[in-house]
Amino acid sequence: MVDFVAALWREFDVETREHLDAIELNLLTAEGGESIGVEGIALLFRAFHSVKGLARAMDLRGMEVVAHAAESVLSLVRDGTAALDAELVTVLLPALDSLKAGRELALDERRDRPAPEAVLAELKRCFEQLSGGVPLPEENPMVEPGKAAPEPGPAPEIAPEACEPAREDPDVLAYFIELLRSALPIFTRIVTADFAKANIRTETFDTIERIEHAADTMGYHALVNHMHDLRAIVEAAGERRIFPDARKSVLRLLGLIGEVLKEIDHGKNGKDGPVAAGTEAPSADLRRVLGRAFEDELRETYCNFIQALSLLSGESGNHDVALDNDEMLAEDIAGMARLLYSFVLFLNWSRAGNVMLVIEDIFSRVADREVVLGSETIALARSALSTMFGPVVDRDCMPEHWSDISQDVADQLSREFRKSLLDTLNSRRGSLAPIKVGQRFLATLEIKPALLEMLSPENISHLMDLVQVGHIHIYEVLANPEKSPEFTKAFLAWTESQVKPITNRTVFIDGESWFEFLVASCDSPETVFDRVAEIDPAGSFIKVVPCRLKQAPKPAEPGQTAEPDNRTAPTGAPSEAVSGTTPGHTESVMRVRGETVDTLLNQIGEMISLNGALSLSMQDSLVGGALQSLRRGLQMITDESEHPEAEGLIGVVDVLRQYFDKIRQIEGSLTASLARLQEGVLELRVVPVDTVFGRFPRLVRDLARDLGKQVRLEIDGGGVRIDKGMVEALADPLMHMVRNALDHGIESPERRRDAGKPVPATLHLRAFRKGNRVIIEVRDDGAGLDVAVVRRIAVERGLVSATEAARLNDREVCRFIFQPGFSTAAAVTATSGRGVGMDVVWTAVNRLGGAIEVDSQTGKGTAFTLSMPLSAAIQSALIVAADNNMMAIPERYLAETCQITASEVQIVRGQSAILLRDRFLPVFPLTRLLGHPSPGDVPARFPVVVIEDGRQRIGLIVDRLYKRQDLFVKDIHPQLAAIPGVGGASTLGDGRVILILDGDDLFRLAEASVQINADGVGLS
Amino acid sequence: MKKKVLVVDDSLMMRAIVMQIAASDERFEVVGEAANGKVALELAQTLKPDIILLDIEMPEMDGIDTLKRLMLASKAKTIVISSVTRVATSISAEARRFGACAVILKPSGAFSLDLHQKKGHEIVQAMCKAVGLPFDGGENHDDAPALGTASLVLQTAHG
Repeated sequence: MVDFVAALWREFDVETREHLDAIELNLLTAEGGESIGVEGIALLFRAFHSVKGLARAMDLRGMEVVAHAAESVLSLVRDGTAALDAELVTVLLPALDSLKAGRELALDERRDRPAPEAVLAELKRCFEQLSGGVPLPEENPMVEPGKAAPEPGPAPEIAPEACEPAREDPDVLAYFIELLRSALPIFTRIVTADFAKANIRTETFDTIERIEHAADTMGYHALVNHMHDLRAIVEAAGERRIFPDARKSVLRLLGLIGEVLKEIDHGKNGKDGPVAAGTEAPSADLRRVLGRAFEDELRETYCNFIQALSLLSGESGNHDVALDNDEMLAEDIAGMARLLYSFVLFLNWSRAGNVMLVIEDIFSRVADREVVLGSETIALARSALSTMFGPVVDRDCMPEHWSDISQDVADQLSREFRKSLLDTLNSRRGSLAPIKVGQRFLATLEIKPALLEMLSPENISHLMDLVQVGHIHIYEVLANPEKSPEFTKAFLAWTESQVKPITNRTVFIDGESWFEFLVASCDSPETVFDRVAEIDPAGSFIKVVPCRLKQAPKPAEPGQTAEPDNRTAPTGAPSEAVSGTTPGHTESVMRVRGETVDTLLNQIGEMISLNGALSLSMQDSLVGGALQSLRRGLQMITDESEHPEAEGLIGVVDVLRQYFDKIRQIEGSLTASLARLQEGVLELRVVPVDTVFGRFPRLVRDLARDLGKQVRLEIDGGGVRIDKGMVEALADPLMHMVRNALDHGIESPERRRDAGKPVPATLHLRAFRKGNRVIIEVRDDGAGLDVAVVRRIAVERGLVSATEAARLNDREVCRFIFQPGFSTAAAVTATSGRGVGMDVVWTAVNRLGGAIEVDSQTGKGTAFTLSMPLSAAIQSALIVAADNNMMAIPERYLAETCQITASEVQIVRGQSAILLRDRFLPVFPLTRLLGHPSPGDVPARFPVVVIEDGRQRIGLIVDRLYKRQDLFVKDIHPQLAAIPGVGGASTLGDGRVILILDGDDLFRLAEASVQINADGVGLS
Repeated sequence: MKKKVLVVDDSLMMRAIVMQIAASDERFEVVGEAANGKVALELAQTLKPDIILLDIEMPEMDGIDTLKRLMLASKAKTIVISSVTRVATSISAEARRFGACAVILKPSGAFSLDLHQKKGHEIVQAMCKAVGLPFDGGENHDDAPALGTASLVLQTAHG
């Protein structure tokens, strides 16, 4: 229970934040004079409403009352009584703030924050004013004070006579018609070959039941009766195809249903109320209406049908159709035939209906790989179709001139189809591949379609091997092998003895993963059940269902659908429809806790490291080399003298070699697949940039108001997704930049007017993806930086020499604002520029592996461009060794590496330095920077890693350089993280832990060390 | 056979609470949950629940629209769980007109950990009535609820 409540609080946190953010965004948009539309208002209302419900659930009375009042005010807007103008927003914003405060307190201390009287009073006043004097309704008007709740009595049956009946509601009627429409194609399948399939039968019964219930609710008693009849017919038929006389009844019934549908539709469109139908043939008038209603659909289906037929015959090259593609095409065609059939039923064309059924049957069989069509059958289908529907698709031919084909034509067509199909079958029989035999075997069983989809050709041929051994049974098994160790053991033993798994898949039930197996066994269900009861007496971990024989539609009896009386009714074992028993989880969005993803990511990181170790040992020429030497040695022995044992061993070595190659191959695929896995999981960590951008509308609004400036905020690309950690780390720097833009960049309205600029300034936030980086722009059209002033100050501060400063272009000059010393330059902020704390932004962006650029034009505006990696979790780094420790230097700091001899090191003002490209570069032994004692003897030659961050450049003396590598950055122990110079940790391919250095820390350490040196020099 | 329950609410948190309550009586079993009317309609047809607990304010398809369709597409007894108050009477009447067998206020007070004892009862009680099961957990519920707490609201035909 405690856990449950904790989970509720977590969810409360997430959901209230979502709603409050949405409220803020919409309110601010509305305040800006932009219309948020009916949808926006509905969303706003719903958000307050939801907050109310959530607060109420957590007993947060204060929040509940405020949310209720705000919701009530908004309901007036929703009704159209009031408009959501700036004035109303100023009333609602304090309500939002109070909700935010209430939420914070509730989350921090789990207690209620009483509703602020002023806010509440204002909302009440506002409501009364807008509603024309009606007081704000009390929060809970259903229970009158002092009166107990009414005793909940039994819910009375729906009393349609009491109020306007529901069936007269246009929505209800429309939905009813929609239901009927969608049911008709399903009903038409009753008379087709499809009906032998269990899932179709189930669907049919479901549909009958649904329509019966709906018709009952709507009061269409004639239709209820039709449904009764239909069900009786279908039930009597059992699993067989419908008897001939029953077929006729079904056809008639379907016609009747079509007519009821038509009349309801008719009644709905303004004539008299719904009437029960019972007439046999639709009148010409009716037909016209029907034709109009379906003309376009009919035409489209017809064209698609003809097109699919051409595709089937034309593109397969030879005359035979045997490709998988064609089977799918055939299935489409069968579906279209069903559709056309249901149209024909509407029109009450029984003869054309029969022909359509034949066509549907043929193509269903092609789709099921029962038969393979010859081109003449396809041609026949095409001509039959144009005979039947030619007038229908002719736009000039009015529906009243449409008619059913004559009996003669119908007979003729049926005969031709039968003959053509027979010919094809005779020439094709027996040529089915073994796989097809396997598929046909499985098709005789009732097996979950999802499992069937999992079957590979290997699975099937494996199965066929078993079938050839003897009579076998097939079972569907649902098991959760991870439930208990005992069960796992027993289950594994079972799958190795009594049953042979053929295929399996994972299914999720209540958040646990289960396995669904298809297994084969020589044992009968009774024996299998006994054994299952032994391994899982409680029956809670495993469920076994034997796959029963279903009524196999006999292949190769053409014409049987056209003349169904050919078909006697063979009965197999009575079968029940085995349908999915697990409730389907149709939620398309899953909410996963951040920690879970991070843990997963860590695990994957570990896997990648392990895989690295595996690759290392596989690439190691040790095994391969050893095998080769062994083989060579053995070869020498056999060459010298006859040595049968050695000869045998050569064979063994070859086998080992093959085995080794195979493992290497697998290792290669594993590496690739792991990379994909990692990519996939990284995707899980991404969130829209909106999560940060969303905070700015309010910030900008409040700040602009305080500063007396007019600012229009434009946000683009808020949907761009970046790493969650990155979003959080970017929030502060972005905030800083936006603040800066408002403080210093954007001018007062007067000054803008004087400068001839539009009075409202524009601040543009934009995010977009560029390769594997995310670019974020903060652009304003304010005063821009005064490059001359920046240049002067840079020189004054000693950041650059006067001559060098003169050489730099504007863009390079602007970069000085990121220098630490620059921020205190009051003169810049006072006159034109900005610069407060830009070094903080620089550092934060750099730490995340990003880069920042500034581009400014005096008088026109400033743009900051951040370029960030997509994920903060993976870093590319150079691996070095210093004092026998492996360390990684993040690539983004790397400038270059070089080899130096000890004699090249000079001491400049007490600091070791080397001359690199005509400039002195201070160098530091890495170990000393990190506080290790430096090793006594210095080698004659050593590598130097040059690192830079755009402002400074230093050299690090190390013992050895290794390679560059992508490292998966892991969280490290806080104590380790506190060590100066250490930024993170990772593991190497061989499992060794490696520290990732922090460039910023290194610069700081270097600076400190220079300080000490300088002091030392001064003292001595 | 346990009675099957489908819970429909756009808030995960509210679903969690309502599901917890519904499952507190062992005669009921929550077989599915939906975050909007569309999904609810689908699940109602595939899962065939006996009872649907339906929120009235939802995005996509709101409660009343959902109700209109559920009335035709499902045999389940539908209980509307709502926190709509201002237009409570008219919403309730609408809900009743389109087949809801009860309209209940959303539960409150997860704090006090008395979900089952207090608010939970109303939902379970309404569920029992809807499918004709005896309700025997009401002993400590008979006291008049404190002012302002939720209660089962039954509407007469005209609301």
